Amino acid sequence: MPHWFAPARPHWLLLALLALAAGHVVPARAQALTEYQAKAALLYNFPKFVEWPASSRPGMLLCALAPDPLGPALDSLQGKPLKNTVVSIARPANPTAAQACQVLFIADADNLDRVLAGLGNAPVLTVGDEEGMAARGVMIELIREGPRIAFKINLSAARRAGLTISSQLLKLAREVY
Amino acid sequence: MERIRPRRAPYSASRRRFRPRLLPALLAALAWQAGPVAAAAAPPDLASFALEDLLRMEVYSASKFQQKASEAPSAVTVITAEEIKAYGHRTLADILRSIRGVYVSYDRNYSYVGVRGFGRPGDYNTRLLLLLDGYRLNDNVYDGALVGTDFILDVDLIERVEFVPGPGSAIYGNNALFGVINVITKQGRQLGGAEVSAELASHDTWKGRASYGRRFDNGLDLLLSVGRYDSQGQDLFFPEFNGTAVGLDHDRADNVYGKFAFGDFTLALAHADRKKGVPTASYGQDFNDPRANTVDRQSFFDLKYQRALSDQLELTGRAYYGLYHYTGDYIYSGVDNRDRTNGRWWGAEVKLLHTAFKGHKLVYGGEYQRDLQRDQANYDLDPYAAYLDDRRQSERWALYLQDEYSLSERTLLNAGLRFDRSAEGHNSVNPRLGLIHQWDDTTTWKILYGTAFRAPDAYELYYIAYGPPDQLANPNLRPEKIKTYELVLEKVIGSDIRLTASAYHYAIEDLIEQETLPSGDLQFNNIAQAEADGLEFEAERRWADGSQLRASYTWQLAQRQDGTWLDNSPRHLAKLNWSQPVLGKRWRSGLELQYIGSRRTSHPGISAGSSVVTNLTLTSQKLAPGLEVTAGVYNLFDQRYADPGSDQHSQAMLRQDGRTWRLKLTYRF
Repeated sequence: MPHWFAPARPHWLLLALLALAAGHVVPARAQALTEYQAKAALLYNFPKFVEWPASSRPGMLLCALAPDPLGPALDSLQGKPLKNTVVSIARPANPTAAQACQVLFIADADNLDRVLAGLGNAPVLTVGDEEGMAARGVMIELIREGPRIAFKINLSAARRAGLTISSQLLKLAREVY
Repeated sequence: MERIRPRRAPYSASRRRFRPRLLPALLAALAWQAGPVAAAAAPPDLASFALEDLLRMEVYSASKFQQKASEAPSAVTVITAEEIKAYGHRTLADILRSIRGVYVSYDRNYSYVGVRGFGRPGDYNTRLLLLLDGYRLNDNVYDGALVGTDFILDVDLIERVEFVPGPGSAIYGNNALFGVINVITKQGRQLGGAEVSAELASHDTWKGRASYGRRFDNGLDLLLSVGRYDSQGQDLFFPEFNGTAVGLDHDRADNVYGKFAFGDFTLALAHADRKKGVPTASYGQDFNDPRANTVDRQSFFDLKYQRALSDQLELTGRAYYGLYHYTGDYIYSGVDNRDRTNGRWWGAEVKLLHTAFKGHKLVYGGEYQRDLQRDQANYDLDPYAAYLDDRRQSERWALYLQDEYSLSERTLLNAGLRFDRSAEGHNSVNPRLGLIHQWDDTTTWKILYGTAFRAPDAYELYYIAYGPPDQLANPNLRPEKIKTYELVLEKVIGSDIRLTASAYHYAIEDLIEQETLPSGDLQFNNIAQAEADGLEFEAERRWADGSQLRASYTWQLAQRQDGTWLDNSPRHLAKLNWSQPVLGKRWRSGLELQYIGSRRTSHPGISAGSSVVTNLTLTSQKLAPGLEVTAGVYNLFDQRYADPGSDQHSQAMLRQDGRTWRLKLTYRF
């Protein structure tokens, strides 16, 4: 057996390192959110700056199309008060069913054209987080700027659906189409 | 890729040197962590955050694809750019090493990826399919996939690596026997300007890279990058030769990459050129001759078109042209014997995604590839003597259909079938069936069955070498076939903990191996069968502050039909990847532990002992605007370990690097 097959070094060093690292893992602080928690919180905030046409359905139905990375973060908003009503959560099976939503989160750009065609001009605030979505007709595109989240707005898409977006939100947008 | 192989030593009972001490230690450490992993923190009240606060807040990106992965008919692993950076991965091989159930061995020339207990020494990753943004990187002569410093792309340009273990032939055809590695590149806009990177590392190693990426107002997304890696390497002592190979571990690699995305079109161009010294005197050549080296050169262009033809029909088309060139200088009695290979091919693919029928997602398409050159030559330089000049052309095509059918709200049936006509005219039909059931909101079951194949490559079919013993061609080889069964359980706890468990059974037949004929000559033949059984467990948790913990354990047993344990097939693998902010959050640490159990070598009675390799990396992006600093120590505890050699080596094992370091600076402007 070649000489360099000597037993490995003492492993207490390894364990000490692990112990050290273990001590440093702290539970999530109240103010820190994961990316998708923050995105769910944004979905809850956007309606405050948007007016739906008077003819649209009552209620505040926040929806996400599969695949849905928001998961439990979105569910945690169920029953929260928003704009004189309470939030309901739904995961519509197809774009046509999503016409009943006030807000629709679209995570997947693969079938985007199909989804937007299915929604037609229904008064649904569409929000997506894949690059180029706003240019393709999604009303709000969440973008990453390093560790922060920002957004772009496609105002003409919102107008087509009869939605009015407040100037306050437009000012915060990185780009407005 | 090689000269005559020495005769394979007969199998005999191995004397395993299994050292179980490390495993309990590692498992104990993992169990300790299981505490915080199991207890989900109380979720924050998301309704209490104001818009401005949300926009100011720093969040770490989570893997969105994990969610998609839960619907995939496999236990997919996704490694993101952030993880690659945090753990200081230098090559694709480093990235793959961190994946559950995967191990990579290195013979100081090429890197060999082992999956699900199959890590056949000397197999140039022909039983894995390597894709770059969907383009097939396996060449058309050896069907090899290069994943070390010879990988075609700088790892800094990788957005994510998706590893799909299991048979992929029902979608991808040839070579997708044990798994598919899909490397996804960054987009130009993710760079948002120019970036230069310089690194220094142990053994006189440096690397430089300059990249530019941007999305222009007219919609053009552009990414350009050039890089060079150069390493002097070490002088390596080999007890088998009782000598030191001086200056023969040198490694130099250049790469160029460009990607242009405009409208529905994406054009990618890549070129890489790697020259590596061969210090091991492989294939029985002279020891310590400075001329021994291999050069691998790969280039391609790949044009992709993607467009929604209607609400329910999406078209993807692709046309590509690829080149592979290999030169090996092997020295015999002072004479430089050159092995040379030229591969050249073009191909096209059409794929349609069809959702007209309710509950069905149909994918169907076809592929055609024309091999313009599959040439192998072998000759002595001086005095000149030609031994082999084999020139081949061929074509291959395939048709496939896949349906993702929602049986109910919670149950998905994924069924696929693909027909392949290989270069030698063999027909292969490969089905795949996956039943994916969402037990409840957090639990997914997957029951998977699939087959896959690998067609014999041009080397196995046509390479001839004069011995003694002679290596004979065998144009009658048939494709290897594998049948696989797998059960996967995925569970999500809270929003940030993911657990995966998998059990599988693989049976491979008509395995192509080199055998010794009664005449004493060598020839490849469909002679072997093998089976593998395995269990895999993985736990992963991400914290809001960017901390991440991923721990996995794999038990696997891969055997031949006669019950002998396969070479280079560890029974146990355990991995830990742990990253978190440290030192007042200015830095981020990446700790990586990799345990590999003992492995048989091709030399009877000699096993490569178990080992734990620890890598520690510190990264900071907060020292100066635009500057990123990475400092890493690899094999921190200087663990002595070795990977099994293959038939081409007279060494049973090849020693791996001890403690090394790397310092890397990247500046963005």
